[in-house]
Amino acid sequence: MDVIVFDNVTIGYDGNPVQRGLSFGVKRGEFWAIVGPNGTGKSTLIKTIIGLLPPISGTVYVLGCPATHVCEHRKRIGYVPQMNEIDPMFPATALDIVLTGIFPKLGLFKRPSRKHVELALNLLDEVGLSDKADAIFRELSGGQKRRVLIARALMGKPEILIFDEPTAGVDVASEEQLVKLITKLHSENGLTTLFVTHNVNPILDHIDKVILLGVGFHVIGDRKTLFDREVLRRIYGREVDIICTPEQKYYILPEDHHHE
Amino acid sequence: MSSFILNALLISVLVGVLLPIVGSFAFLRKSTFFGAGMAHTAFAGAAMGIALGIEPLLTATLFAIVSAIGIWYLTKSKKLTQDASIGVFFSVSMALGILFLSRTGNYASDAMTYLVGNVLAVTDTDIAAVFAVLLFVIAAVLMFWKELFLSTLSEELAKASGLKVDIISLWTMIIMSVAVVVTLKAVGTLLLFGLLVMPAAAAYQLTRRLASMIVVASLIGVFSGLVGTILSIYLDLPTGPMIVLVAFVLMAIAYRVKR
Ligand SMILES: Nc1ncnc2c1ncn2[C@@H]1O[C@H](COP(=O)(O)OP(=O)(O)OP(=O)(O)O)[C@@H](O)[C@H]1O
Ligand SMILES: [Mg+2]
Repeated sequence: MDVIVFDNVTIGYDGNPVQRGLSFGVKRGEFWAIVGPNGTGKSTLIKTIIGLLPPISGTVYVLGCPATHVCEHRKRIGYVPQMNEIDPMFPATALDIVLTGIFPKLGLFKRPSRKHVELALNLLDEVGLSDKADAIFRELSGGQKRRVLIARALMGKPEILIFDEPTAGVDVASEEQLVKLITKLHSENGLTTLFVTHNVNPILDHIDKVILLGVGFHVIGDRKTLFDREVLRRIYGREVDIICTPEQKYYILPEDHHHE
Repeated sequence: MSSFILNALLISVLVGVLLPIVGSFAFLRKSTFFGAGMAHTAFAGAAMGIALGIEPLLTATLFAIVSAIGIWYLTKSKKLTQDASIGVFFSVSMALGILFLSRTGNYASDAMTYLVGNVLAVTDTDIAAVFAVLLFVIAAVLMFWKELFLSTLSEELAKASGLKVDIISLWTMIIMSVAVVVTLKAVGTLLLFGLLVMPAAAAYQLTRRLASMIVVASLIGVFSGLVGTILSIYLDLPTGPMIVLVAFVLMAIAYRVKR
């Protein structure tokens, strides 16, 4: 059974569509990339899947439950939002932030237990921040903050992991490490993964399916869709280079960092 | 020591704890201006109570809560931004407040107390009200710690965790407006903002975690309240300004220490 099912769904805000007619099914354990220029609805799609935003029309099922229903399935989704959704100045340690990941599973008035603290410390270890548990969140680097949020998303032992631009604004080396972490979580734990990014290069080998979002239209397909010049031109509204190295590694360069 | 000096010291301690606690959340949620707006709507309510001969605490509470709900609604439904909504309620209340003030006749000085504050004017009822609200706020913060923590860190994560973020912000706004109402007479409309913002800002500089920030903010608030009140009694100067100036000195020191 598909863990995420979209059936002819229109997404958007206050009745204003951002994307229409989305239909797809995500199978357990698949790695999906969601790509496209700014403002084409990547975050809107994520918010619809998580149930924060009701679809304008069509049906969305996640883990067998309508996405907008506040039921148990939500606790099985781990979500790492875009960085601008987090107050960068909030006073807390890395450990404090990771522990908030267990809040949905705690009852009213309940606090995290010793067990939860141990789990959080293990997860910080897993994301490579074993020495940063007591570090102040606002003093961490951009890459380290993402790791903390990934550890946080893992607290609830999710079956689906959703990342909204986890590598935006970090340097190339940190991006590589983050991608390594995310692909490791995917392959070792078989977690269904949705990954929004502006740079598909580091994840090309791991992608099962892609959703390419353009202004008011979309293309859904497997990895090969990313090598389709014509599709990329329509999505980005400009020429996009595809480079194939001698080792058969592909690079897609949709950004503006060449021939201006 | 005379009973009204004891009362003055007592209320300055209570206010010094209460305003910095709610102020810490307002500071982190970037809604301190809401506190300033509430002080002015509460003043209008108090002036109305005095003009009509009704208990000012009641009318001030009514004004503040109605404005808090109005501001919450306008902001939530995206009709206006939060600062603009506050501006509307702020100015309309002040207009009403000044009109009522012009009708208070012999009681104009009572109304002025709410504007500039006077810890020596507080009654046992005022103290009981602040104490009750303080207990309520502490209980609410302890009971809803998870909800407050997460929704202040990130509304998006709070929503994704199933929290009703709109309801949480409505409650924080109502609680803040009640805290403002009960402390109005002691510190005054014009100066209350100082105890809301400065202890929180100073504590933010000095601490690294939310819980310690709130505790340190309260300590700074109590110190400002006590020292400000004692200085004002000895120097025969108005209390509100002394409290605010002491808080300002502490905040300046906190920023120096941090650099
Ligand atoms: N809360 C909102 N209310 C109304 N419209 C919104 C809201 N958030 C986003 N939009 C609009 O919806 C469209 C899609 O926005 P979305 O945030 O999904 O883009 P995105 O693909 O994630 O872009 P980016 O790469 O910049 O993150 C944009 O036109 C945006 O202006
Ligand atoms: Mg986005």
